[in-house]
Amino acid sequence: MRASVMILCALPVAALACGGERVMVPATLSVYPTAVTVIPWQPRQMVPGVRTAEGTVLSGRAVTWSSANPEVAAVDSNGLVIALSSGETTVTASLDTLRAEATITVPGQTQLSDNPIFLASMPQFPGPQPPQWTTRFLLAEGLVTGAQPEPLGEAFDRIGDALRRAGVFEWATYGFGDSGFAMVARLEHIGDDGFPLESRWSAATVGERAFTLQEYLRRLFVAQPGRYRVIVFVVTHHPLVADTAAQATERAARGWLQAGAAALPAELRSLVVPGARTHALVYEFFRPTEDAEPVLVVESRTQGPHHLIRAGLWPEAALLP
Amino acid sequence: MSERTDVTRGQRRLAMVWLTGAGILLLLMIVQTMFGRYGPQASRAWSWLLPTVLPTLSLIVGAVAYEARRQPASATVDRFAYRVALWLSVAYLALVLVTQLMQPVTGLSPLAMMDLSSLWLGPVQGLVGIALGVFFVSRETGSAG
Repeated sequence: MRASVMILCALPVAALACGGERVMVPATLSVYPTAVTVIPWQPRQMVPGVRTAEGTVLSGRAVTWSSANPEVAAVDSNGLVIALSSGETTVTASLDTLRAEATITVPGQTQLSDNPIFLASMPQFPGPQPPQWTTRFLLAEGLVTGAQPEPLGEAFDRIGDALRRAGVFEWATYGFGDSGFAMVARLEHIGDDGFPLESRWSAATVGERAFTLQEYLRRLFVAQPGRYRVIVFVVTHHPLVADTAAQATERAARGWLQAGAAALPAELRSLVVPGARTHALVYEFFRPTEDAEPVLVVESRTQGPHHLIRAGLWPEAALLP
Repeated sequence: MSERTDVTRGQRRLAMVWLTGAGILLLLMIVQTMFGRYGPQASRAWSWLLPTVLPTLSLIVGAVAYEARRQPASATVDRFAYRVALWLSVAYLALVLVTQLMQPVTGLSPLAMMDLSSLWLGPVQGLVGIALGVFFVSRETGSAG
């Protein structure tokens, strides 16, 4: 009798001891949201939901993410979805034998350009392809620093710092396509060698040199040509092809500085664009006499990198991540 | 009776002034064109200069040539009309030359300066034309005073 009582009394104690060490077994896995439209400049965070059979929410479980079509939308190890091209795909969360899927839709190009947030915040650089340039230089293959893509805002700040170090304090910012931007530096007066002249920011040639008799006679009998340059930094993941039917003019290039925005809006600054490249487009104009209209130089004496070097922008560590 | 002067001498002096002044201007324009001063717009520059000097120069040279073909006869013109025509001609040609020579020290391009010069050259050219007209109309056959 006494032994039976002791066993009976021990049973609840044993039961309590075993309950404290019970393992919660995931029974269901879900993903939120189950269907979503993702646009390139707005990555979307997917949230996994793990529950037991009783409905108890389990946290801290390592969920694996994958995308059925990474060319449409990619997903990182934390469930952050980045849209890359228009289309539809499925993002799958996996935990042991459990699976949960979400449908990701990336809208087409026309839908992207109709985005009211984008249009309302940024003027667009002449496009869809830029006007024919004099020379082009690819600054950076991608904006990647280490293993993480870089937000466009950091590239914008880096280019701005390089311009300021080179003595350029005026530029205009434009949107470029659906997920890029362009920075137009102020038009500058340069010599035949590509170096900025003393009258760098003036189109006038009078007063540039000391006024001597020799200088007077030179101005009286010889034409006073002028050479000008505009550097446009374009950050985009699209291939950059010039619109050869649209040749930029010096007057239009001056207008680029007036019509652009001062900075990137927050939507673009936080945008991460895998595969984006930084291009430097150089527009060089030559005016044979004071009365002639400057025309775009098709074959410059100065190559693309040398334009940047002589403008004081290259090699400029600030331009690289 | 107004003072009068010999018409032949007056015409020849006017011709010398115009030939000298126009010659300097033309020579200046030729050298500038040869050195590419006006680039592809040289024709615009010449289109400014030629109407500025050639009409009056042609008139003066034609009058001198006509006078040279006539039988020598004593003819006079009003001396005041002659002096006005002479000095207005000098002033006009000097003004055209100064317009060309001052352009390098201004902020204007050559053609812009030429376009602007019509503001002052036009009225003076008109006065020169009137003065020369009075000079020729005041011609009389007779002895000089």
